[in-house]
Amino acid sequence: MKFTRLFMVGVGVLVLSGSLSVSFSAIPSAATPPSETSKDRAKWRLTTLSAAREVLDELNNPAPLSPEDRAVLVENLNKAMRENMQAHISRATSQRLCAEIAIGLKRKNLERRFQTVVAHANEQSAIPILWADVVSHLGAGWSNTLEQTMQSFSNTELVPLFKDSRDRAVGLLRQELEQQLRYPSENELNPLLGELLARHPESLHFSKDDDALLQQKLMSLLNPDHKVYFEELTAILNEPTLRISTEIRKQYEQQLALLETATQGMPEDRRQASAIVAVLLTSLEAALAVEQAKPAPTTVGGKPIPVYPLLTPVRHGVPDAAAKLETDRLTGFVNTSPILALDSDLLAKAIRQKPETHHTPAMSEAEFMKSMFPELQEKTTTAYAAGANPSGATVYFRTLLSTQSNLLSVFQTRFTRELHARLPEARQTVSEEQVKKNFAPVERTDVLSTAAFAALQNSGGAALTSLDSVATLFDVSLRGRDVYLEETVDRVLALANRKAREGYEALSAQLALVRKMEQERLDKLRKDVSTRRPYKEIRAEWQSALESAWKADAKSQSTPYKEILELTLDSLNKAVRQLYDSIQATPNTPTEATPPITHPSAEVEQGKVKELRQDPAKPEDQNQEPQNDVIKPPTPKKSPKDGGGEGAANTVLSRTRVDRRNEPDGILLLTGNATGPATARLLNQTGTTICNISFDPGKPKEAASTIFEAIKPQLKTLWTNTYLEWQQEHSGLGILKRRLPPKLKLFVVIESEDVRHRMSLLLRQHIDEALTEWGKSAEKGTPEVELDWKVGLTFDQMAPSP
Amino acid sequence: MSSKHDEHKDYEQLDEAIGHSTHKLFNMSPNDVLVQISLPVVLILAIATRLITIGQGMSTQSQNPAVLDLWKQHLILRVDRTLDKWEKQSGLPQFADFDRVHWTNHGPDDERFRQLCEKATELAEMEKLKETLYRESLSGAASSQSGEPSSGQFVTLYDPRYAPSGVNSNSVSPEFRIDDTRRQFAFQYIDERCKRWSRDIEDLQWKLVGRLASELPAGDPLTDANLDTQMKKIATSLEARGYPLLPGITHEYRKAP
Repeated sequence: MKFTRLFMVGVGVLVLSGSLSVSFSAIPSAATPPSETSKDRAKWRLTTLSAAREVLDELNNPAPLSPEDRAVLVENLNKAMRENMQAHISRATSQRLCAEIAIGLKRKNLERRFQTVVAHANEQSAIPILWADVVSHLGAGWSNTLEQTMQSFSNTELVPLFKDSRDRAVGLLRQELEQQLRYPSENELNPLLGELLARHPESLHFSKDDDALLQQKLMSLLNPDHKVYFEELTAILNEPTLRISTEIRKQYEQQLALLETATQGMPEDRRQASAIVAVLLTSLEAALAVEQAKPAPTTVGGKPIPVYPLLTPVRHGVPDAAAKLETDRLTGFVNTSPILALDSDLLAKAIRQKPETHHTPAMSEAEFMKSMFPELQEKTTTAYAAGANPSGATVYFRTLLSTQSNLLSVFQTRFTRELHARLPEARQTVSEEQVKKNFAPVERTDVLSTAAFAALQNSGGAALTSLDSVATLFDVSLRGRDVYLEETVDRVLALANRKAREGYEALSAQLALVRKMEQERLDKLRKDVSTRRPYKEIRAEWQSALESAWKADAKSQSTPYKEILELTLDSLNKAVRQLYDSIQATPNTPTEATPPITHPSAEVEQGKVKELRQDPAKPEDQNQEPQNDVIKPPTPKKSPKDGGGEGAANTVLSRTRVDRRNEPDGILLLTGNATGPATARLLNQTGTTICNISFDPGKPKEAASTIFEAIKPQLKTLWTNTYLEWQQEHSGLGILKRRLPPKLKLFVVIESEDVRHRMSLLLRQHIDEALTEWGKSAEKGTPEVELDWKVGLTFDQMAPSP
Repeated sequence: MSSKHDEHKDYEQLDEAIGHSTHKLFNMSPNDVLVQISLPVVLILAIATRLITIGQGMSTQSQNPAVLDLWKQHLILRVDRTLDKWEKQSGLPQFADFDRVHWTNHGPDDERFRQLCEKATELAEMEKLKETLYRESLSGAASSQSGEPSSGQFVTLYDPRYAPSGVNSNSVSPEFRIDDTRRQFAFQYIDERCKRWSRDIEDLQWKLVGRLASELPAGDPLTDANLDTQMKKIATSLEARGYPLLPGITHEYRKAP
């Protein structure tokens, strides 16, 4: 029996050394009393009971952790944290894990304690005592008591225990890490800086991002295995690495500042990059040697702060700085060198020698750029190289100036600036010379010739836009169109237009006086006719009155035209004659029944007054139209309401049908009066109106668009017919015919002087564009349909307004 | 068939060869050997052993005297009567087994056992009790009180150290005079009996304590982590309930000074 219990004691101790809870629950709760003496058995009972009481006291009134136990627990937790640092990075997580560990350790502690109690009890009893025997006295709820004890431990001891353990682990690790903290060697630092600065190759200076990155890389350098540390250490380690990175950055910036200082203090004659590099490196190394000779302060862990030699990024920056200085110096020379200062006389001379290449300022610039630029480059680089040490680098600087885009740009800018400053003066000089030499008649002419007035009247007083028109008007012989500068042309045109305008204004004023006289002197004329006064006298009287009136007007105007113009006299003569004849033909007709003054067809036929004009939209030099293109209006003039418009159209048709070649594809009849809206009617070849549109003659642009949009479908039909007709003519044997382009003949008959000339031009422009657009859809190889545009007036433009 | 015949023939030839041999090695059967040799040998050994045992018994009996001295017979008689009286008064014979103690509500509830425990307190002062018992034996109080007839009532045993006043020592025969040697014999005789009582009562009381301890929960006020303290609490509790324990039990865990 005793052997059996001894065996059970052994088993109990073994079980007790395992998990406390498992051992307590696994051991049978009932114990069989031994069969020794009563005293032995009683003492066995008493000792078991006392041991149970001791266990219970331990659970109910747990003694606070002794310093020794506390130290052991702290050490165990510290060890657990260090061994599994990954899991203990976060303080909160670590506290949770440490709580589990501490409770486990506390359980083991209790196990050992109870084991001691049982062992001590066994010393007091002849009969071996098992843990189960003790448990039988503890009762069924002892496991709850145990858990309450653990909870109490957790509540009271765990937080300070974890704090001590965590502080100890963090402190120890910090000490270790601070021992490892050091300044990186030159060989470690150079690649690191190179990697950082490669992120922004345009600048050698640190950016804001670089500071954080440098600190991060230093951390990696000092912790190559990428060990993870407690979160408290992240902030703790940041501080020394920040100090190291700040010091590194400071030294790096100092080296850059030294480079900057050395660059600024570079002797003026060092102009070539290679020479600058040599001087810079010598200066930098000398300055750093002075720094290294100073006693090094200590900061990180009492370790001395190294003074780094010339760092590789700075060394690599030396050639760049040298190249920049080289460029800056050459740029400065180019910007200030007097070699590049141009002379306007020199430029004027060059323009005179070859004026056809200097028509515009832009052409002049291009010409000078081509002729003077290389020469000036050569002169500049030669002068620059002469002042360099070592000298003799002319070719080098020439190549530099011609190949480096920025330098070339600087040179071009300087040259262009000089050119812009001097060229206007030079051109002005040459222009004045050209005007004086070639356009003296224009300057000299004060009063225009009759022919010039006729031309002006024909153009409606339009502004002169070309030298040819000036030459025609002022009888100037041009020696060539290309030899005159743009400024010359402008100057001549301005002068000519001023004089033409003066003449046209004088003519207009005189004609207005004629019209006024017709109204004022009509009654007197009737009397003169009735009294059979001779026409010549009447005519002389009217001319005398006109001259008197004009002289009075001319006094108030600064016009060179003091006399009545020949064209005015012609107009006066026609008006008097027409009035005179009409009054004479109807002696009893009341005054109100006097027909309006119309131009006799005979005079038109004689060409004394040009009744029909060529299309003013065409260039002047192309206005020599064949005679058959001239459309003459029917006489007498009829109002549109009387069907006068259709009469004019029919006249045109009847005249053109004689010659099939001139037969129009359509006639556009523009009629109207001063009070109401005007009307545009498109007639076909038979004279039938196929389109009728109202428009406002006071708004030429809108009127042109309105008319065009209305007649566009009919025009398209006409265009299609023309196109098909041409194709038929040139198909089959027709391919042997001369391939003249198809023409769409459109005659415009303007019956109202309210219709602006500008409107017909705009309308023609619209139709031209439409033909071009439609031509794009035509078969390839087919020539574009041309517009044969003729305009006829059925009224006298020079006649006074009704 | 021919083979069986040949085999039989071989056996015959073998028997014949044996029968004609000049030296016969086995002329008795195994049964003959068992009956004629082994049985007689076993009987002879048994008788010898018995005789040796009887001889040893007879020699042992011849060493003790067959008759005791007269003073000794009287002294033993008187002491036995006194001791029996004390034993009867304590009630010890009634508790040959602890199970006879009445037990209710986790504790003893037995008047006789309470009487035994109280009587047993005399055993705490063993020397005094022995003298009392000796004196009482000499005086013959036990016999007179119990009223039993005594064969040695007329014989006076005289111990000069414990003689009651008024007794004339000259009238006592030297045969019945108790000297130191005889007194020592008497005290030794009483001592043996007292120790047996003490042992028996302690045994009962240890059982009492053991049972009580087995039924106490660990959190009971009587329990204590210290064994001596716990024993004192239990003893005090039992004494308060009329069951004083012997000092040998109470002081079991007292540490030696």
